[in-house]
Amino acid sequence: MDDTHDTSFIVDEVSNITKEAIEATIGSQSYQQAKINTWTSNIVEAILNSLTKLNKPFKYIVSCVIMQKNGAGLHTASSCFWDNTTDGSCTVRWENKTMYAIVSVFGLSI
Amino acid sequence: MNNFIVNRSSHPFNSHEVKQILEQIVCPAINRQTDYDSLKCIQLSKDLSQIIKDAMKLLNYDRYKYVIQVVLGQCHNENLMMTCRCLWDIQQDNYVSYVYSNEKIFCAVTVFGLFYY
Repeated sequence: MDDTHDTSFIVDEVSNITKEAIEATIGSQSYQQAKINTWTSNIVEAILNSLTKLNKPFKYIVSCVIMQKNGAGLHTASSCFWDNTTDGSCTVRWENKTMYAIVSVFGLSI
Repeated sequence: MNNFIVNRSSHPFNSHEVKQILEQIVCPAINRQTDYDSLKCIQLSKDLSQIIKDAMKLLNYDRYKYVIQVVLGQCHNENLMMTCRCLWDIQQDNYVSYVYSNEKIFCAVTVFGLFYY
């Protein structure tokens, strides 16, 4: 009987939640300076709400970077000091013709 | 059966202390780069996150888990927006964010400290 399903960080599940949130917010949009603030907030809040509904004993950190496509390079890296057996992370990269979005979700068990 | 539950940290996360450490690590590392080189920056972002993680461990906060995120990019007249939201314990957990840039490279570092009960 596998009861770790309810208390472990499942990367695929979180990845799907993240992709849906990104698609719903900026899926069909082009980069607009005025809206970028609202978009990042909406993506992050939507993901956090969906994660809360999973009802798992986790603390979550959701971070979103949206960048205009202009030829510049961007690198992100993260390192974590946590419990490898219970905690996990998921990073989703998304792009369209005018912008890049990188969303990272970290889940730490309590 | 061991049921010892800890609710409060005896040494809470001090943002000011962590921010000073970030300044000391990030500024020299970025200034050492003469130009934006994508291969070097790949390694630099990974190295920075490891160095900062090790520095956080030396601070000896008891029962804290850390997540360090480093975003490094080329300054190319671009616009970038970074947002984060967290679901955590507001009394125990905290974060520190530090951004540094010169003419060629910018670097945004965020360190999250979460208490483990």
